[in-house]
Amino acid sequence: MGVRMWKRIQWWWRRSQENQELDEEIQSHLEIDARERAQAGASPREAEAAAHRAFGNRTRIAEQIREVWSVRWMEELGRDLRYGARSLRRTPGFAFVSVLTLALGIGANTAIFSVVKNVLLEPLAYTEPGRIVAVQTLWTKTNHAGNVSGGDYADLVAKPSPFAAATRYSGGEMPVETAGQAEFVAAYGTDAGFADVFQLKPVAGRLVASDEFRTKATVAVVGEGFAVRHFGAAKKAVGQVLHWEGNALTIVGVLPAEFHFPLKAELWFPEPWEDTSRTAGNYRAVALLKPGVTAEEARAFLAAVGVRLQTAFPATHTGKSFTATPLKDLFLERSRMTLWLLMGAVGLVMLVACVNVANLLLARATARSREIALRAALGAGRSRLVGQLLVESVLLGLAGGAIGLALAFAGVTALLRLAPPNLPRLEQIRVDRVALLFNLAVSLGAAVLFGLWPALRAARVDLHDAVKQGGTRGALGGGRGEWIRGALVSAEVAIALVLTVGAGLLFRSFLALNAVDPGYQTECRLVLTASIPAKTEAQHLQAGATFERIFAALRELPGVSAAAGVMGLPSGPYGSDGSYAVEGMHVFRSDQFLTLPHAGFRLTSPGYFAAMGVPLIAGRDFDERDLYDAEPVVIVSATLARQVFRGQSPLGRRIKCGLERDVWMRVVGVVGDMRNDNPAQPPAPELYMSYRQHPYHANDLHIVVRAQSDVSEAARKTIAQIDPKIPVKVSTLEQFYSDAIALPRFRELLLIVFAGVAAALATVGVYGVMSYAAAQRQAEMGLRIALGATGGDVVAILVGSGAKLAAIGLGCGLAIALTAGRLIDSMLYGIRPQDPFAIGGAVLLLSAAALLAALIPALRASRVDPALALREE
Amino acid sequence: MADKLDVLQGTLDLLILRTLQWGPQHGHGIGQAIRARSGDLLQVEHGSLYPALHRLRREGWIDSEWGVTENNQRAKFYRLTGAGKRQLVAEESKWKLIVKTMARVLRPQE
Repeated sequence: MGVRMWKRIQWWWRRSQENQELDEEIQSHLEIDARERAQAGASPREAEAAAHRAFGNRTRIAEQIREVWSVRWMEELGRDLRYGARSLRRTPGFAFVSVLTLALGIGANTAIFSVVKNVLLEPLAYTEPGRIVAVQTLWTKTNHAGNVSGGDYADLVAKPSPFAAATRYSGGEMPVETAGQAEFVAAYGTDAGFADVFQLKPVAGRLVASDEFRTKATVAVVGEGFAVRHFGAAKKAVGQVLHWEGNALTIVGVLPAEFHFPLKAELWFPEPWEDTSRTAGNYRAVALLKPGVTAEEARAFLAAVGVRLQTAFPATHTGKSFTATPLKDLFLERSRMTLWLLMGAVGLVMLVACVNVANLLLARATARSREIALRAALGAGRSRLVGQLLVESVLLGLAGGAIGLALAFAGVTALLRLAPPNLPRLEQIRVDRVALLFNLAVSLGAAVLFGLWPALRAARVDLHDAVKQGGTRGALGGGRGEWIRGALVSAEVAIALVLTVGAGLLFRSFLALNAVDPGYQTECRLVLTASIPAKTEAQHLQAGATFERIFAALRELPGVSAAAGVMGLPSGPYGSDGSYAVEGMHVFRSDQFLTLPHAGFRLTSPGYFAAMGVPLIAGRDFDERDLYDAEPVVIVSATLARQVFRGQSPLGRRIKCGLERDVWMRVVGVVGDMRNDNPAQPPAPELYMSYRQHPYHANDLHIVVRAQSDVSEAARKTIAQIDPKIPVKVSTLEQFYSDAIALPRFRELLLIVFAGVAAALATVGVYGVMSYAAAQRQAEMGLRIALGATGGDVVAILVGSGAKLAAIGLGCGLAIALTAGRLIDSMLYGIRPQDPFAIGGAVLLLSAAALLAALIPALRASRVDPALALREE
Repeated sequence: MADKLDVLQGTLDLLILRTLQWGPQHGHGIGQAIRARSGDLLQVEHGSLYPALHRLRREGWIDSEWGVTENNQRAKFYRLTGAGKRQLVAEESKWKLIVKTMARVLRPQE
């Protein structure tokens, strides 16, 4: 079998030479035979004739021999391919539109989805992400999941358990210093199970050994990114020493750059916790499920442990249980909304592309029903006819797929250029293989399905009728086919309208967000993140004094007009918030907390508001007198003053809040509102306190420096002169601000691109169908013109039928958009989902596109020569 | 026609392979050889001979090569391959079995 096939293919490969040899072989046979006959006494002419007679039908024998070698399906396929390519070349418009549609659908969808998946879905770069679960405390009354306590953790992972390995960790951003430089790094203490849960393999050095966890050895493992930044290469980091808050750790190993757990972590050190508290939720925990164990089984196990602990510790564990959630689900939770929106958009664009191709193929099959009928009448088998049409569809699909592939790669490159540079793992974004295959499969499937359906119908057609009727009303030319095509066009317009309205809403929201006044000025403001290690009260107070010296020194720098510190910079990492009470209005007691008003808490140095460009509305700013032992003071934001004091002056009133000091603070000033949490959120009520009166929270500060030029190097040097051990990170306020709106901005950009693609595809689709309809009715139009209709009448008729379909589509799309608008309400800033400008704009845009698409073929039809059109019939 | 026998279905391959056992031969020669060895009783149609030759070649039992006849005429010569020789043995024993079986079946009843 194998030999046979191989030989056949060899023969097929050399078929022209083999055919020639075949002829030569027969020729030589005839010559040999003739010569023998001549030798036997016949005349040369007789001999030759006799040899020919004896041989028989030469052509038929050659055909029989070729049959021996034939690879029939291959040859038929080759014929079909050639025929298909020829027939597509004959109708370049159709081929172009179909291929373009498929390519756009495949390419744009794959590119956008690849970026979205990598950026927004944060895929987990761990060995077996499906098996890793977060183990959390579950408060059954509120269904709130949170950290676990040390005592509970020991019970949760005690063997036998469904976990192959488990680990707990705690930590966060910490100032870390190496020989060369200092920076803020996400650093986490872990226990021995960490490497097992994530099945880690170091790229240099080794992991922390298990006895080093017991002894709390002064060792650490760092991420490759950290190693490269500080030492130039992963290998060079091994053996180096790093410092944080008075600890010195020796780097023993480097983990691969793509491993970031917890999010953005780059430093891991052993922590032998002996905390057995049952109430202090100090740890986060993750575990690796044993092979074959599901998350549900792990949950059931943890719930059982919860019941046991409730019985054992009724005082502390009532309403407390435990749960396990796959890490993947935790990540998805965060971006579910965006994910659904984009998946919806992907689906709709794909739908439009498929509808387009379906439409075009249906229209084409109609136009060709006469040709098909003729071929059937000439004896082409049904399977050959279907095969032929199928080959054409697949040819279209493949061409579209190939161009789509190129578009996908180009698109990913282009999108990466547009993406904000601080998105996580940007450098790892690739064309997503699953998305690519999915899109390819869907488009090919659509092409084949919609190519096959008319093919099957056409092959079943009554030959006599079809041939007699001519081209215009063949298999699908009648009412039914037109009806289906019309419905598809309307559906397409409807989908495109929904997407365009969505994009319009997001675009308007995008403009509104860009135009928003955050309440502070971002230009020409340097932000230095600095940290002074402190443990005791004396050290914390000392840190405040050191910062004061730093601010003073920075103000002396040339070009610097202001310098001040804050804990809780807008869009920064250190915000805090809680309840507060106004003397004479509220009672500040724990059982009253739910009735108390809520505000953001921020600590500032004197001069902060001036440095930020925030106006002082009443009273005074903090000054050098507002120290730890002076009367505590507070400054309130305009919104808080309005909400709580309702027109009365807050100055002189006293406020108490849940930050660490239980003292009444006198209101000394009112300042303008700032959008501290997020530029997209309206300003919240804020309490600003003097950082030197709350020293426990004030040794990690952002220093805002207002300067005419870039003074970052001079600022670094100034701080190093005061204390070279203070780690400093330099950024700008612009950077903080744009980081905060970068993601929504990028998300909107993606959706706008999506909608643009969908609208373009829908227009292409309407054009394709309209131009076919016009071509179909060419004879009718010719007749009308011959009977006295003007070109304008013809245009009106054709455009009118197109406009009707578009109007139906727009109506349906509008209804869907108005209903579905609520779904994206939470993503909109400053406008409602019924925004008339976005909806009106989308309707106008699509109407114009649809009319244009109908107008072009109509104009062409109106210029037709009636005699020519009628003769073609 | 009593003086000519049609080649039985399936026996042509055996005849060709057997003929080529004596050495490479061209198509016309093979036809002639079969006719001569059967005492002019077996007549091989060219319409069956050539397709059969190509079929055997496809199966890998024979190979072909251009050569020159004694009369200095160009012709395509076929020769047995190793696989062809094995096939010939198999076909021969199968044929003998058929002949024996047929003879037994057709033997006059006592």
